[in-house]
Amino acid sequence: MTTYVIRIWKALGSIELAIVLLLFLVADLVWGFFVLESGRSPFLPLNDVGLFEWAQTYGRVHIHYTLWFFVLLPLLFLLAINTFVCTTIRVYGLFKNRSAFAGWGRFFLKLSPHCMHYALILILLGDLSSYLLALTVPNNILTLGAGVRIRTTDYLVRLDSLDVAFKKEMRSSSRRSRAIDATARLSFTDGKGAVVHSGVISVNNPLWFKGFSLHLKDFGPQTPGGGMGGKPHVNLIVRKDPGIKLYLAGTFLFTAGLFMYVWEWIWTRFRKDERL
Amino acid sequence: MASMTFISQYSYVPAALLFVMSAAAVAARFNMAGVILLVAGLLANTVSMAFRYADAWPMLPLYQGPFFLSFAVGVGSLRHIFKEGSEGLPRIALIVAIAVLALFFPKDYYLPFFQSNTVFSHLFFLFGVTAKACLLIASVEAGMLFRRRRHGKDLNSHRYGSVSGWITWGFAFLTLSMFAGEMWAYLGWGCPIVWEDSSIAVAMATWCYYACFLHLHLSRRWTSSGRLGFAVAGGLLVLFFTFYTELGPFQWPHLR
Repeated sequence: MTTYVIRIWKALGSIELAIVLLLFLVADLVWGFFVLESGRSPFLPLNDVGLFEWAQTYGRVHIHYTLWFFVLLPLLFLLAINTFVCTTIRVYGLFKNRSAFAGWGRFFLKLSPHCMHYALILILLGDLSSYLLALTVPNNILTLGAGVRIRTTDYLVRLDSLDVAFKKEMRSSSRRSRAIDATARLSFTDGKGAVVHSGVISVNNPLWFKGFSLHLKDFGPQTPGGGMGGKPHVNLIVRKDPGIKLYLAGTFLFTAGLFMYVWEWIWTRFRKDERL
Repeated sequence: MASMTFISQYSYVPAALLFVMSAAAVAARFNMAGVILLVAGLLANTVSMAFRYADAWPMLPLYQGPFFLSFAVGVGSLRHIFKEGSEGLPRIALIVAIAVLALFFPKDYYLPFFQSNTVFSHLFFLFGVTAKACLLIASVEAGMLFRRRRHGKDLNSHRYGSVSGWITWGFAFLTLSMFAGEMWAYLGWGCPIVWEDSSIAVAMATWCYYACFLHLHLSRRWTSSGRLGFAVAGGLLVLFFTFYTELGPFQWPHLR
């Protein structure tokens, strides 16, 4: 029985399986690429409604366009299993032979691929958690002084002020100005109307509040005096995403592993040249 | 006054011409002249890139990848071309192919959108171009090694190491480009991955392909020839994705 389990464990972590899975993933993603290029994409609501709901509605109805994605999910799952088993076997081996390394630095650098492998699993887990657990409210339009309720809470978010930065276009002879950024001041009030928090949001600079992140999706006016009768407004995406921290942790760990790997690669080459 | 768009379209013409002349000079075994023409072409390419960036700044110039790719491949290959002389012709041929396609098949002009006003969008683009350049150089190098072997020469380990070195750098830059893109998507829209965009499938397919390459040496089934073939095919994949997504229908480069 134990031998049987060990054999399955080793087969799951084999490098041959990793190669086959990666090649299947390439083929599947190329298929997905052509589907997405065809312009029929039912994926837009995926980030808003979550994986379960999306799979049962858009995913199932447009199966011709989403089948590649449903193939992708088990492939990624198998890759995560393969990566975990393969790298755990090798990390165990490295720690067992720790004394064979000249120093901690050299040993530490040898862990770099495994750092990236574990990071990949974190990224996949984070992404899966986001798709299963995140709450997204994609369109929250606020005009000056107006507020909207943050879903599932009693808090209101209100637009207090909006400053739009314009830039003259260099490409046209008319040299019109158009908006390149906006800074909005938001305040949050509780059920009794008391301001509990306020902050500034701009393009690519979200604001965090009680586990929610608010992103500036759109704003107006986009030209001086234009849009919605020149009335200043913002459109916010409000998200509560418990998977994002895991996802970002994976990204940072992968980046650290990557730098260690490149560092070791340069160091090894340098040592080789020295010997020559 | 000529608009910036007009200047950025025009300024790439001398770069492409100089690349073609450089290839012709190297083919005729005027190697030094070829290198000088290539350097001149890269300078003209730099001017064109500067105008394209100035046109969109502080936002990202959209669909300008091929114009930057010819520069990145040229800079990466320059030292090899200088050393190899006429043997390095396939490297210049790649630069010429990219330049000519970029010149005659530019994508329609798109106004940059304000969400691209972040350092992450620029890192996504620049790391992505650098990654593609490294992977294409690796592919050409692998092809040249194949040719050497067909002519009865050994696959020397130093040059094989160079192929895997370029791929290592390409993979590293591709990963950083993807992470920068994810950060950009998260800050701008709240989701690190946006599935309705085909560029995510392109990036992931390329990433999986080269992750696979980096694992091939651990398998006994893959000989060095097989791995070289894999690297050559990878270059074709990168070229296909670049040209399919970033190029448009044929048109003269606004020479009117």
